[in-house]
Amino acid sequence: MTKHSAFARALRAGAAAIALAVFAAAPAMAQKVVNVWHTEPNARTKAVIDGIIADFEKENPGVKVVQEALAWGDLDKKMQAALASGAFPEVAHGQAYNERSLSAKGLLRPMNDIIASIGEQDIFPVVRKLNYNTTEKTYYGLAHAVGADLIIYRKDHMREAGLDPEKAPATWREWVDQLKKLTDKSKGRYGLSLAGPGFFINEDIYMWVGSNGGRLFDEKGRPTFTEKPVIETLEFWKELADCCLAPDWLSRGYLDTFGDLATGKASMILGWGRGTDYFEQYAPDAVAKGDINVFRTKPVGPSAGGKPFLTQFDSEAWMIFKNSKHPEEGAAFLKFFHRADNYLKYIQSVPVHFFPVTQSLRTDTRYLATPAFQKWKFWIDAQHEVIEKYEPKPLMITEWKDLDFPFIAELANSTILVDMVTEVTRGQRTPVEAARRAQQRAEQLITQLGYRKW
Amino acid sequence: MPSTSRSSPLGPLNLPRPEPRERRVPEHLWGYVLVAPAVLLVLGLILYPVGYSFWLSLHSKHAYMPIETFIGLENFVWIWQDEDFWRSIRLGMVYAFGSLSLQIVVGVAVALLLNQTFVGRGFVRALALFPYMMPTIVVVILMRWIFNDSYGVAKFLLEGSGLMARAPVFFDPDHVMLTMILASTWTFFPFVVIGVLARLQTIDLELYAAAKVDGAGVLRQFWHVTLPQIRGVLFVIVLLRFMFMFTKFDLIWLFAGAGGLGYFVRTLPIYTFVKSFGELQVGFGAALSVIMFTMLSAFAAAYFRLFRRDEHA
Repeated sequence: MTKHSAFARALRAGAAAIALAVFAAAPAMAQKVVNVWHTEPNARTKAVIDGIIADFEKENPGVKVVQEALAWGDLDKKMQAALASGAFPEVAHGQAYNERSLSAKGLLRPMNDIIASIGEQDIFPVVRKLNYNTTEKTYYGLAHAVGADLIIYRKDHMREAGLDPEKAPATWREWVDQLKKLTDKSKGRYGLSLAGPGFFINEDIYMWVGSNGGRLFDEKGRPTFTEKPVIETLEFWKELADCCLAPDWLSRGYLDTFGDLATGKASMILGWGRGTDYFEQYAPDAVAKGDINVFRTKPVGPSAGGKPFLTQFDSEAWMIFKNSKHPEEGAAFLKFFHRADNYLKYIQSVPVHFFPVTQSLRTDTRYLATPAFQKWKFWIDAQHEVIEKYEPKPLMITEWKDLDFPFIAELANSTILVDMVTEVTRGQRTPVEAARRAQQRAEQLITQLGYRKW
Repeated sequence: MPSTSRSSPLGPLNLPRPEPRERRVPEHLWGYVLVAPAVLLVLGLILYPVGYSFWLSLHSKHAYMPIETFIGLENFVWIWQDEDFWRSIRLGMVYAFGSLSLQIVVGVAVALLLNQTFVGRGFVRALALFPYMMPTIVVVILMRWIFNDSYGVAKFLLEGSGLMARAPVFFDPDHVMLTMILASTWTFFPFVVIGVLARLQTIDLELYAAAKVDGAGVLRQFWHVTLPQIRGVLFVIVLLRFMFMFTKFDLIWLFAGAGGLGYFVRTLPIYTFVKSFGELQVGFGAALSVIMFTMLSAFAAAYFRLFRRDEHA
């Protein structure tokens, strides 16, 4: 065989292979693909969503739904990168500040039709308040479920330290005193374990500033990091880091903190109801003895001035991107997802963490019969109480008006607040110096983004 | 001259046949035609992105909003006054020089060992390349296990062997840079091994024989024979590896992210990412990348110049 004919044959074979591949891929390309990003990477929820997707695809031939589960801390980064490159998913979870920010930028499809299909009045008022844009009289998002962040603690450790295991600390001072008694560095046990990645430091700083009667922004959106409640929060954090946090707390992920509590390396953590699975798996004895518990309140700082504590309202919203390829199919999927039977299955996949957003489901006998509620009723009751009495707020939002500032996403994904805390807890700057620097950086960022209004 | 006859009413004509016209591309144009694909590739894949970065660096541009305002050199003025920028340069230098030095030392040592004859040499050579073939995320997960403060094998070995009464906490702010340098050394030293080993195998053995005759021991042989011979390879390796390490993003990002622990290893590429995709200031991020590009170009130019001068000396 000559070189030429061998080459020609190779070319023909290559062309045939390409043609075959194109032919084989043709049916897939003809489908409308709906990309769904969500923040529930646990296997049970993913399996439930797979089931819902399969049923939806049966009802909607020609539409394919692809779910992608992301860790909370990764969602914003992935979202920002997707937005920057124009590769929008059809449907995605987003923090409340993202929903407002993206809708203000004209990137979201209104969801009034989805809300109507669920029944607007059936949705809890707090959720409507969270997702309703009063200026435009439009919903641009809908929380997939809600929950409240609580202090989770070990009763056995409290007893060992001579503390009343039922007594929640009312003030930061009381809390620090408790944590000091719970800390035994010789045993490698620390009173508190906090997650160190930036996302979680953002969570703690806004909750603690809010619990100290403070705020992160004034009425015009100017950062207020040099105000007394913020400075006191930083002083409190420094004290915690010195007395009661592990030296490598900055490297500890969210799940690591659950591991710390389960294995007894820490006595308290901040967290959500999804941790129950973790404790059942890694601390079955403590669970059986009832030694894993949650407080129904959180402590307040010295400047709270009678205001209640602020805790996080877990309320990532479903959003539909207007400029994605198939937004209408995305909307159809969300309507299908929120049908009572489907939504019940979803909620029951993380039962202690996910509170349904519809009142009808909250009173549904099938929901109330969820097996996990037997063992973890105290946790559910505590969240109920916090949501109803103490008005928790979503991430980075110390006051409801903050939702309307269009720069919160950029600030949350900068390292400004995180650096402020890191510098103070490592003793590199005093709280006042660190706050001043953070204030300057935040003002510069907001100015550069063109959102300065003061 | 070729001729032909044509018929005509007046009889056959004997007219000269016109010369077939050669549709030839002038010789000098062929060069351009053949080079064109490569030029287009370079323009499209290298010059355009670099040029666009320069262009963006002169603008205030949001990552996905249609906000693009020409601001001249303002981004560079901000950067000049930005404490975090200078910090990221300093941390980047520590990381790049720290990991580069260790990679060179370990890489050359391993290459020398693998140049010896012993049973199973082929297998060990393949094994030595293993870290370089591992995906970064696997390296990060492995290192997180090895250096874990609770159950890590590093802590177990250091404390169990009596070397240390209490092993350092590898992922606390005081040690995270060192941990990162060690992890990077482990991952990238095979690059040095490959280059140096290839060169070692081509050194004329008579040089060593002559050195031995002159009474040179192992160290003097290394200093006077091996090192001068691998100098050229090391020159290229140092240049490439410094650039790779100074621009390294994935390993540091996956280990520490940008905030919290990441504060202590926030090198220039990480800082650029935060500005571009966290704060969504693409113009500012582009200005940072332009600075990074300029710095590395200047470094390469200076390095070449120094080396050449040294060669001529």
